[in-house]
Amino acid sequence: MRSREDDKDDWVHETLDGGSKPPAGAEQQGRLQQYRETLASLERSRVSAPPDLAARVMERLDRAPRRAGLRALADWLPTPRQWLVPAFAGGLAVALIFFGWTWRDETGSDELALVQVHFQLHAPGAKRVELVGSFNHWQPGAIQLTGPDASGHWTATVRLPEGRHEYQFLVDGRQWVTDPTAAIVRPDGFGRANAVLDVAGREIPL
Amino acid sequence: MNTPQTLKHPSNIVVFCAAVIVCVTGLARAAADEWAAVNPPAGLAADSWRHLVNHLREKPYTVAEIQPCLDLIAVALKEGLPPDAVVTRLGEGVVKRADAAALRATVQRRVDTLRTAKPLLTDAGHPFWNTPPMQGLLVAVASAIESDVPMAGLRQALKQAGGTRAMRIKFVIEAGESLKLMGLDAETISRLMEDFAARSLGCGEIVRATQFIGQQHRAGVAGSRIREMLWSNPGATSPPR
Repeated sequence: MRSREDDKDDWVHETLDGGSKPPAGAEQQGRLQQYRETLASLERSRVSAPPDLAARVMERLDRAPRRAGLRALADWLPTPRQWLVPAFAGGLAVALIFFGWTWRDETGSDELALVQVHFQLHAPGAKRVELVGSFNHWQPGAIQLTGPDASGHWTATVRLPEGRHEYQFLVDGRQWVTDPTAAIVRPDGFGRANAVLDVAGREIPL
Repeated sequence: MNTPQTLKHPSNIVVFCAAVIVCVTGLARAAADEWAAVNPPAGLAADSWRHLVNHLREKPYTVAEIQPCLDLIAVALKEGLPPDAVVTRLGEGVVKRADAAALRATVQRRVDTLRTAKPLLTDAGHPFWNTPPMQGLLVAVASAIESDVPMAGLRQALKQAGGTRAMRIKFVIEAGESLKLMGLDAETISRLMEDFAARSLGCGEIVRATQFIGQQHRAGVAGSRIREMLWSNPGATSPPR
């Protein structure tokens, strides 16, 4: 609800703003006069900045000592900035993702499946045939072939991880024999040749 | 026959034989125990050393004969090269009773090729080489160098495969070595290695492709024709089955 005092103030405000309200009572005229005097005193007391103020401030700023390098960074870093923390965190996250991905690509090893491989050697006169190779650290006795069967064949089935393997047969504990069925052989550096086996194929659960 | 007078009595012969057996056994034991006093190369895994010494105890090598090989293993360890790649070669030679000179030459060759392989990997943008999968790749490259796989092909394949998984690159390198051992010419090997690397073939596909190439090569098909047969379909990413 508006009071009479509010209506009086409206009249004074409109008159001060240059409005054309009908003449009011002596009380309002007095208040208007009071406002006009106050405004006139404010106008008189206004202090204007000297015209060379900006030049003087800039000159002082130029004379302030500037720090370089790490000291400038040390001055700059602790200054609170709203964008700094999120930007830093975002950058760190991007870097971690990038390097993590690169590391995974460079070092990641595919899980190697075990593949069943069948070995066979025709040695009808042999008493014992062993399979010795990179897969058992060239340790004789670890894998023995069974046989001979009626046709003189010795056989063994071994589960090997996918990848490259080199091997030889050791007959009767003294004679090294290169697998005659091997598609690839590699000189072993000791005057013999290892059979080379590249294993890839059906996966067998570990 | 002039038999010494002291050996004419049967009991003396028994004593003589026993003395010979004791001497031989004692010498053999002394030779075997010699290995217990040898310090393993610094940094070599205890298991690797135990396997190697077990091999050596059963074979007629002296410490002096094997020491140069142990020194080379120590050098490999110092240079950050995978020692097992060297120890395995030494163990293989010992099991096969290779002579000491051949053992030393083989171990030296392996250390040299590992040294050559390391910068090939780092130059091709594989910086994290000191991890088990990357060490496997390093050994594969060293082995390929031992088999005289063209260096240009190795470099190109390593560069082209930069950023892909170590295991897959290893298969590409091993395929290159297989092709060399099959007798293909250097240019065909380099091109096929680039093909394998560029086409992102899987491990099984690379092995299958290598077998196919081997069959065709043994049948007398020229290298360029084999490449055509492999990739005749413009969109081919997989070798023929």
